[in-house]
Order: sequence, then structure tokens, then C-alpha cells
Amino acid sequence: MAGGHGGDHSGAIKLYIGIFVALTVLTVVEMIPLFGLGDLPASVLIALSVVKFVVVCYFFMHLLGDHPIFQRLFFIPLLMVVATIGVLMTLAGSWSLNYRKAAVLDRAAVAAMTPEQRGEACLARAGVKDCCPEAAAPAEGAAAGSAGFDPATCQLLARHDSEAIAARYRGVWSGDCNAWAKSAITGNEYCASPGLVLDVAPAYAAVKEAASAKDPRFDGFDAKSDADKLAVLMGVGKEVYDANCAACHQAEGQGLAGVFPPLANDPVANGGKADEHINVVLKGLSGKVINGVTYAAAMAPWAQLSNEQIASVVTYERQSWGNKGEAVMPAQVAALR
Amino acid sequence: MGVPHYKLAMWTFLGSECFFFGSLLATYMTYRGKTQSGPIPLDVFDPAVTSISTFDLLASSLFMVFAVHYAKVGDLKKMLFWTGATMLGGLIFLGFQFYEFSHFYHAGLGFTTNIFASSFYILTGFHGTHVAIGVFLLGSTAWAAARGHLVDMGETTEVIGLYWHFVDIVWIAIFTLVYLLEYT
Repeated sequence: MAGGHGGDHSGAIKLYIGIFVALTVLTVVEMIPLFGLGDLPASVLIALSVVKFVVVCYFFMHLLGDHPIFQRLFFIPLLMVVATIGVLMTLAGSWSLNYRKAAVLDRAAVAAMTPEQRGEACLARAGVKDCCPEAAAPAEGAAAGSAGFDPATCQLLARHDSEAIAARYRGVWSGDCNAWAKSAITGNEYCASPGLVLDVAPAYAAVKEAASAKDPRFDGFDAKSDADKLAVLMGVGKEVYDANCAACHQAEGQGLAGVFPPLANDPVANGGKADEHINVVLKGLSGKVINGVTYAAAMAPWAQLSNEQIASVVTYERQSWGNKGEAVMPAQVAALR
Repeated sequence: MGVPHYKLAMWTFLGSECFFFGSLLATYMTYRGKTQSGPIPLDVFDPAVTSISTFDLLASSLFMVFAVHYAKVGDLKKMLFWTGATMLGGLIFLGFQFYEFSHFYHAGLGFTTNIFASSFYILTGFHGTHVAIGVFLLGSTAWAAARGHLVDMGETTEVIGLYWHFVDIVWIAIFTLVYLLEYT
């Protein structure tokens, strides 16, 4: 048998070797950028790989000259797969991304970015859930101080759809990192523990801007009777509370066991501690023991709210859910600011 | 249809394998660049290791066609020699993959370190698994051929060869999409 195919025989071997040499040359060309010897665009690299792929199929796998059913069996699924990858990449917005661009936590790159750029980068690349590891399972006992956004923020994230969050928190990721590590191979520094601390200032700037437009309900406030003043404060206070406070302290001030302190029956919200209450809102609070429970989660300062809004929300908190604190006037907030 | 059944079955299987690796590649490509934490590919990739692996697999494909060729002309000795050479190429590839994975791990890239790590290890790990299965299939074919158990040595070797070449072309895709694109 071997003898009868003598001529064919060495011809086939020569063809195989020729194909192999061609594939080797193409591979060497592909490796030019790999070793930094020059640049090749992605389109050229993909075209080269398609050529190699097809050559192996037609010559090494003998699709050339074989029954056409084999081509159909293989290439129809292959084209479906290529189309699927293309569609998925389009849906996920992956075409313009790559890992080199993704080096957002490369220390030098992060340092060079504005908070807005970092936030954009985080949200654009990772989506809210990845920006906030806790968002996936935030509710009971969300560990305070673990990697990711602080629990209060994650609570917010979990309660809203991602678009609302993207709008609210766009540009607020500070780019901080719990631990930087050094790659043993390239020597690059990268973030080994992305503790994404929320830098709330830019987001709250927008809230502040809205707050600076004076609420018409406070027109002629000082001339009003005490009952009318209280009505305005309670009305505005409920709006401010529902918009900013309810996410953590909950709609009825009941808090979240062990994570966010309840305001109902809170010692500061009752009795003559209005100044302390205002200060918590203005300056934030952390590591507080309330009614024997320690709360590790930090409360952010809300100084971006107007004096009228703070007076309203504090009054609302002091006179709701069974609390018996006194009303607070905007002038008191102004004095403590 | 007048085509060998084993070959038809193998091509059908390879069509389904397109979907298998297609889904893994789709995952990798969809998540490509979507990590905020390192290491990223350029922190860990080693061009020399990847290049040697690539040439090694390419050479093994050449050895495979030699093995198929000599199986078809009925030259058992040469068929066994080139099948052995192909298996050696596969084992060298696996050795480099082991080296690469352990290097990556020591550079801080665990299986769940980031989305790059997970999608990379799943994709290349399953490719490596296919190489290992290929080596096993080649070994059994060589053993059966040497013992004279094969009814049609040419066809059997060709069908196993198809599988081996498929594993090689999957690597062509991985090499470009996973490795080369990082350097553009």
C-alpha cells in the first residue's frame, strides 16, 4: 500500500510541511506586538488568526476535498457562535473595553483621575453591583467595614434600580483601595483589596444645589404662628426624611437591627437634646452605642442640606413615631453650622 | 450519505464543541476589561511561555497530520512514532499550562480574585482539559494500533486527529483573543 502511493506520499508530506511553515510565519508576525517589536491593530491580529484557523481546517483537517456535510456541520455552529459573541459583546458594551483600560486601580492611574472620572470608570465598567459588592446581599447583618461601599450606601444601592443609582452616584467613587499589592512579574502595583470608599461630596453637591433654591413654603416663616411653623417643618421634614434618611433608618424610624439605629425612642430624639440631634445630621456620626447596641456603620454628614431642610427633618424625627422632642427652628441649625 | 460514520460523528461533536468553547469565549470577551482590581492580564502574562506553548501546539498539529498520513498508508511504525511525538507536544503544552497557572497564582491571581481570573481560568482550563483528553485518546489509539485491534487504523487515527486539530484551532482563537489583544 505504502509503495503504491509513493509519489503522492512525499507530495502530501511536503504540502503539510509547507502549510506548517506558513502557519509558523503567520504566528511569528502575530508575535511582533507580544514582544514589543511593533504595533499591529486588533483587526489585523484577528484576521491573521482567522486565516490560520481556516488553513488548519481545510488542510490539516482535510475539509478541502472532503464531503461538504463536514463543513456544514462545523461552520454553521461556528458562525452562530461568532454571531452570539458579537451580540453579547454589543449588549454588554464590551467592544471598546480591554484590560489595559481597566487598570483603574493601578495606583498611578487612580491618583491621576478626578473623583468624577473614577466614578465614571467604575460604573461604566463594572456596573453598580460590582462597585458595591454588598449590593447583592445587603439586608440583615451586612457587615460594616468590609470591602466595598459602606453598608448604608449598599442599603441604598440595593433599594434602588441601578439607573437611579448611576444617576445619583455618578462620579462619587473615590478609587480608594484597602490594600495595594505589587505584581511579582511586572512590578506594577495593583489593588488587591478594592475597598471602594464612597466619596459623597460630588453627589451631594447636586443635592446642595437643589437645596439652595429656597423652598417657597418658608416664605415669611418667622412671622408665622408656632402652629403654622410646625406644620411647615413637619411637611418639609417628611419629604426630606423619605428622600434621604428612610433608606437606612427606614420609613417608620424603626432602623435595621444591629446595622442602622432606630430613631423611634432614641434618647437624642427625645428630651432637651436638640443641639446634639442637629449636630448628628450636620456632622455625621460613627461608632455610637445607642440603647446598649453598638453601630459600626458610619452615618455621613448631611451639611449639604439647607438650614430649613435640616430644621424640618430634625423636627419631623423628634415628633414622629412616638418621639417627644421639641421642634427645631432654622436659626438653631444656622447657629450650629 | 456515503461518509464514514465515525468521521460524521466526530464533526458533529466538534460542531457542538464550538458551542462549548463559544460560550466560554463569549463569557471572557463580554467581561473583558470589566474589572477594577488587579492583577490584570499584563500584570501576569508571560509572552515567552505563551509563545513556546503556541509553537509547541502548532508543531504537534504537524506531527498529527504525519501520524494520520502514515496510518492511512499502513505504516504502523511511523504512525506510532508521530502519534508519540504529538502526545509529547500535548504533554509539553500541559506542563507549560501548569507552570503558567501556578505562576499566576503566586502573582496573586486566584480563581476568584477578579472577573478576569475566573473567566480566564475557566476558558484556558477547559482547553487544557481537552488537550489532556486528546493525549489520552492518542495514547489509546496508539496502543490499539500496536496491538492490531483497529479495524481501520487510517480512519480511527484521522478521527482522533480531527479532535486534536480542533483543540489546536481553539488555541488559535484563545491565543489571539485572550493574549494578543492585550498587546494592541
